[in-house]
Amino acid sequence: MSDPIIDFKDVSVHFQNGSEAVDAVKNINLQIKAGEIFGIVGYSGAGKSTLVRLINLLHGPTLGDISVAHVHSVANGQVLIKGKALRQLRQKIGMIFQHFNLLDQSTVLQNVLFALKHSGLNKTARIAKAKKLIDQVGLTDRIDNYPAQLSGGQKQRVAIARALANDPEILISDEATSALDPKTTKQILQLLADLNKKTGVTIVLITHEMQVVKNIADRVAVMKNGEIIEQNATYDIFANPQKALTKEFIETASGSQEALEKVLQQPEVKQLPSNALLVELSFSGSTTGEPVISLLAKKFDVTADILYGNVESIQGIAIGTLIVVLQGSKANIQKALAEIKDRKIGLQTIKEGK
Amino acid sequence: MINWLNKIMPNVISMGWGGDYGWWQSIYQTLFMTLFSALIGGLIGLIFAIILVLTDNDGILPNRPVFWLADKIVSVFRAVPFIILLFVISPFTHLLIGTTLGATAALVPLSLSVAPFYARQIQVVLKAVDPGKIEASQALGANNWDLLIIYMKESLPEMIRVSTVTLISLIGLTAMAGAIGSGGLGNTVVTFGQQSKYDVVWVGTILLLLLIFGIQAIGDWWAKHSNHAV
Repeated sequence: MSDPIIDFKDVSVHFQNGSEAVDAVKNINLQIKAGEIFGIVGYSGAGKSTLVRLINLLHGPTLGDISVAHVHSVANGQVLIKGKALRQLRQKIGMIFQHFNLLDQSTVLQNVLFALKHSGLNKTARIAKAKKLIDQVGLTDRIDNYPAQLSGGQKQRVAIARALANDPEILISDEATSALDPKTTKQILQLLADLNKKTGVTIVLITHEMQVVKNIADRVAVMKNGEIIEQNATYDIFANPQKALTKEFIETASGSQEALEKVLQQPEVKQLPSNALLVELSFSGSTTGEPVISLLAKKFDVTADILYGNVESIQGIAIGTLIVVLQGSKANIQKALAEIKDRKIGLQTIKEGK
Repeated sequence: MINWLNKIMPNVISMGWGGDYGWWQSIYQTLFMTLFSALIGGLIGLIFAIILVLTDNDGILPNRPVFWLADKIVSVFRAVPFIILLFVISPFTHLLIGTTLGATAALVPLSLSVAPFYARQIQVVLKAVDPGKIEASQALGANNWDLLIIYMKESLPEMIRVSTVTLISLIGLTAMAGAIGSGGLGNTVVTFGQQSKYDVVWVGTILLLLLIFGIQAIGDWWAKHSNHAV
């Protein structure tokens, strides 16, 4: 990877919480390319928040080297930039938060103007730019409202306008959609994706919801106990997860785990006949479109009763899951399973009939 | 009319409106002591509150020794009862003003007493500002001066509310300052009360209550109308 915009080398954060030593972030090596949308997934307490705060130095590291936006900001755990230089670096890094963190006693316009205070523009230019930013997030008619008069989604839009005020190269999203309803979450994510495409701003997005990164991230890292345990292109993470925690996140996001539990409660599954087999088939990429189910019936005389199905698109590539009951003679079912494996379809036997 | 008033409150009428011992002088001295000790003590208190919030462990300029010192100064002055403070600092007052009697001399103990009270109130108010707002402002490249403005602006309605409380307790202190001959309504009430001239006691008390309720009403209205967070 050439010239990453965010470069972490062996970065760790330790701190003392009372008598307890906390390793919030452990040996992180992370390179994020300019213009990409990078998702960091993990449960609360995994160290995601501390990790992203190292980017704009709201938190200092204990060990390691950090370069951000072509500024070498940390060497061997020592922060190299202070005062004005630090504030100027921070202007290149926008940040949005779960609870928006707007100034409640300031209007929408004043909130955005505050971010432009050190922009070097004159007052007229600052107001013009603030209005343009507010227009960009679709809140022109709310410009003189106070945050208390806005919905959660609108507040986050103001926060986005504010974060973009100084034309940052990086935008950090700290659980920015976690306090929003699903519909608003989608709109905010769409807005972030559009901004990424239009301005090329690099987005680092931390979340505990796989659904969020599934929609917009190019690459994903999974964090646990301060470490990045898995990291890959979003499609590969979903199609081929390696770690148990990653699988858990994906199952929560797709709802397949929930569906399976319901399927297992169905009477026909509870009393599965001896010539039947309950399996989960996972399709990805080019295998999704194939008429496997009808093929099994025609070629092997094995019927497939679909109990659950789900197909979704990640980075434009389809990923699907089917939970089916295969029924037929033992020999034929074995042949059918071999055929399924041949076609590189994921196969997991859930229950055998008795 | 005058005859009737003379009959029900002879001492109130004989005090008169003008003159060195009239009602106006008494009201004026109370307002003078309240206003100027509020300004001087308020400013000292505000500065201490800001120092306490900024240098605290979770503040934006953590500094253990400075915090410790400021905290102890506030605690000590807060702990000394006002009536004791009046006498304890009287040499200092004499040094500063040239006398320990009168409304101007009373400004010294009043200011020194109200400052720590106000400092603690403002400290609580500033600490209640959501740290997320401070963090978001830091992330935008704000300097410490910007952050101080954020602290004050975000807590303005609460600052008005505790300032009202402080002003009202200050009026109570000016009445006590009457004990050192500071003048004012409190002094008048105490002096005439000791002579069992209760009509003056009643009128003086009612005037003090009107002043207190007036300040409370204005403070409540202002705090409410300056608050955009609801």
